[in-house]
Amino acid sequence: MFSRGTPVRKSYLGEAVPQGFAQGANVSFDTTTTFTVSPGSLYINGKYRSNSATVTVPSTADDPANGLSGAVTTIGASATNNVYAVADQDSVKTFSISYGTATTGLTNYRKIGSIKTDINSHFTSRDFFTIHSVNNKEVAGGWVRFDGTGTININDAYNVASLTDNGTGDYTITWDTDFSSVNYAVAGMAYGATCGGYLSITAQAVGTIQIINMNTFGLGAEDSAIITLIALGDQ
Amino acid sequence: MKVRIYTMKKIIVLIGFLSICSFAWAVDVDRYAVEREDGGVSIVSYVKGSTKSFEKVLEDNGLSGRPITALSDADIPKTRADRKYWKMSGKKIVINEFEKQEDLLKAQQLESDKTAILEKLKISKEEYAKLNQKSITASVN
Repeated sequence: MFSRGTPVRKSYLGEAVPQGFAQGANVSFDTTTTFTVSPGSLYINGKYRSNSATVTVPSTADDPANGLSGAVTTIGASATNNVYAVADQDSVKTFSISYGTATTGLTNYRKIGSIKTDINSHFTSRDFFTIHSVNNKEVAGGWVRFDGTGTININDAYNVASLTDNGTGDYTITWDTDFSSVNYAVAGMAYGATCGGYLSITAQAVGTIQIINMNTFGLGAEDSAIITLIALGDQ
Repeated sequence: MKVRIYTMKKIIVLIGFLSICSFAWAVDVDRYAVEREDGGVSIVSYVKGSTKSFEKVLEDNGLSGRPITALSDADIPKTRADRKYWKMSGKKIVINEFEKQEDLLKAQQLESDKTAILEKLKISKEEYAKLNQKSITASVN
C-alpha cells in the first residue's frame, strides 16, 4: 500500500547501516572545542569527499578550506548553530566540519545537522545525526508507475498528488511538492502495445508535467498498461 | 470428489490472495470528473493524504472553476475505446453517441472519397496501402 512516510531524503550519518551517499561518517564532539569526524564518505554539493581516518577539527578555528572549522569562532551560550560538512579542501579531497548561523566563508558545504549550547556555552548533546545527507539533485524528486488502460490505476508513486486523464494516452501528473524551477529533468518509458510506447512532454510546470504516450511511429496517442516516469531536480 | 473440493478451495484461496495483492499494489485515490472548457472530460485521480490540496491540484491542471463531479469506478466506462467521446450525464460518464456518429459518417465519406480517387488513378487499395507503408518507413528511417 502506498503511504506517505518519512521523506527518503533524510537519513542518518551515524546509523548502523549507512545509507546512500553518506557512508560511515559520524560526527561527534566530546568537548566544547573539538569535533571528531569518524572515517566515511559524503557527497557535498556535487563533490565526493572521503576521510579515511578519524579527524579532529577545532571548532573555533575559522579556516574550512584547510580542514579547520568555524563559520563562527566564538561559541555562544544558549544558541542553535547549523553544522555543515565542508568540501573546500580541494587539494586533499577530504571534508571538514563547520558550524554557525550563517555559511560565511564556506563555498561547498552541506547542512548535516544542528547543535545547541547551554547557558555555559557547552554543547547539549554528544553525537548528532544528519539532515539532507543526500542532496536533492542526487535522488528522484518524484516518480510514478500507472496503468493507463481501463480506469486509470496508479500502481505506485512518490511525491505525486494526482494523475489526470485528459484523453487517450494524454495524462498530467501533479507533484505533491513542486520543483523549485521548471528546469527539472524527466525520463519515462511505457509498454508499447503497438510498437510505440514512448513518451512525449506536452507541458511542463513546477507543479505538473503533461505527457502523451505515442503509438507506432509517433502517429498518435494510445493508452498503455505500463507507463513509468521519473523526475529529478531541485525542490 | 474430495480432490475436486480441495482443488476448488486452493483456487478460491489463490483468487482471494491475488485480489488482495492487486488492491494492495494500487495507490488509494479519490476520482473526480472535471468538465473542460473544450467540452471534454478530464478524470482527476487525487491521491489520498496528499499535502497539496485538491483545489491547488485543479489550479495546477488549469481546471479551476470548472464543473466537478465525484466519481466511483462504476461511473466510468470500462473500455477506453471511445475515450474522445466521453461526456457527463448526471453523475455518470457516458459516450456522446451523436458526436461519435458524426465522426463515423465523416470517416465513411473520407473513405468513399479515397476509393473514388484510387479508382481514377487505377490503383488498388492494397497497392495504396503498400505505398503508404513504404512512405512511413522511409520517413522514420
